[in-house]
Amino acid sequence: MGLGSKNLSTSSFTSDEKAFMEPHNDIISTAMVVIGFVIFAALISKTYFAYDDNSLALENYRQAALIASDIAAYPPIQGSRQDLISADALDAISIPAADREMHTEFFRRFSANLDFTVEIRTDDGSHMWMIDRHETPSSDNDIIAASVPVVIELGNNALCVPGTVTVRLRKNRWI
Amino acid sequence: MKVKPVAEKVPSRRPVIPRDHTTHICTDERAWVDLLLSKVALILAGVIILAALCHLAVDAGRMNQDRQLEVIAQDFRSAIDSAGRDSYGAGGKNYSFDPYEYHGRFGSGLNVSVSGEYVTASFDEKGRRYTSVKPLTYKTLPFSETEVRKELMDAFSAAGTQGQPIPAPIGPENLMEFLATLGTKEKNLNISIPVHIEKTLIYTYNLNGTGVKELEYILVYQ
Repeated sequence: MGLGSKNLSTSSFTSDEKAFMEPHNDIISTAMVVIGFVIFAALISKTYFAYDDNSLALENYRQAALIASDIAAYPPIQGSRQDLISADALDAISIPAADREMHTEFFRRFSANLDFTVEIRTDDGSHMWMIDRHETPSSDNDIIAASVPVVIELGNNALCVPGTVTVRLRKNRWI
Repeated sequence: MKVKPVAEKVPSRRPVIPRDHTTHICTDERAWVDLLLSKVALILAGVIILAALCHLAVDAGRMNQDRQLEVIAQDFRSAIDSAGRDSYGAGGKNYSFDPYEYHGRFGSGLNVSVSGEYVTASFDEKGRRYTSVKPLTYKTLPFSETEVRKELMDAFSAAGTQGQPIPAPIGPENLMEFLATLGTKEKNLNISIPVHIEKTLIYTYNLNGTGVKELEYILVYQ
């Protein structure tokens, strides 16, 4: 058996009384405590920020869902029945708005601090309308979106297709 | 023969300091400085860890209070927004802060205010103010129906009702600007009394006087 393997055996550690590491034990243990505490604090802060982000997203989602359901039931864009949305009315207020007054009226009841875009599309993807306060909407600051299912009445032939109303809330100084 | 006593050489008690200090430090193996430095470092590390733990505990308490204020403001905002979604004539509703006042940790120190654009819930403790602000979805006024009509009557000589719309030269945009200015001032609410929330309509002629427009507003008052 070589000398190296003898020195590395367990008995050499337990019977070694030179105490080479003894004066530094406290420093090593303190370093381990500090590292453990830093990891604990990092985990706590990461969990809190994740929780905060999720609760903010849920809160904004509720607001977006409220607006989406409100728009789905907005009387001026209703079709021949209350549960239908008229494609002609959407043509008038979607960008670029053909009927400026109706477009202004659409956003009038909402708070001026609220910045959002409404996207209405048929499920087959054949038709899509974008309604926004601004003529050139930007999607840079989108933070949350909510959708509600609707039925869209296309044209005068009473052709009804399923679709969705999606509201995208944008980040502003309040959110 | 008298022997002359020889003076005995007494060794000096002062340590012999070698001329070369560097050599002295390098050869001194007593390690007092090492021991002192490591102990001071340990004490410092212990103090910093304890301070960080205390800070974490205090911050956790503050975060909990912030969270509760967020819930209060969010709940109140939802009540106002749901009234905005109701159609006109559905009737108003009363909102109460009782659950937060009696079962929450804020007690009577809770302050809630509402303006035309947002609701605020705040709490003062030991000189520190915790605040949560939530923007409202619909146009809101912190006034009762009577107060709004009086303001309109004073400003435009018309109450803005269906039978007495705001006259033509003013128009919807100027009227909305006037009402937005009216709603900028926060109104503090007494959380012991229920808050009444209802939707109202303000009628105004178009700029050219050809038609009448309805403006929807949510009224929040006590």
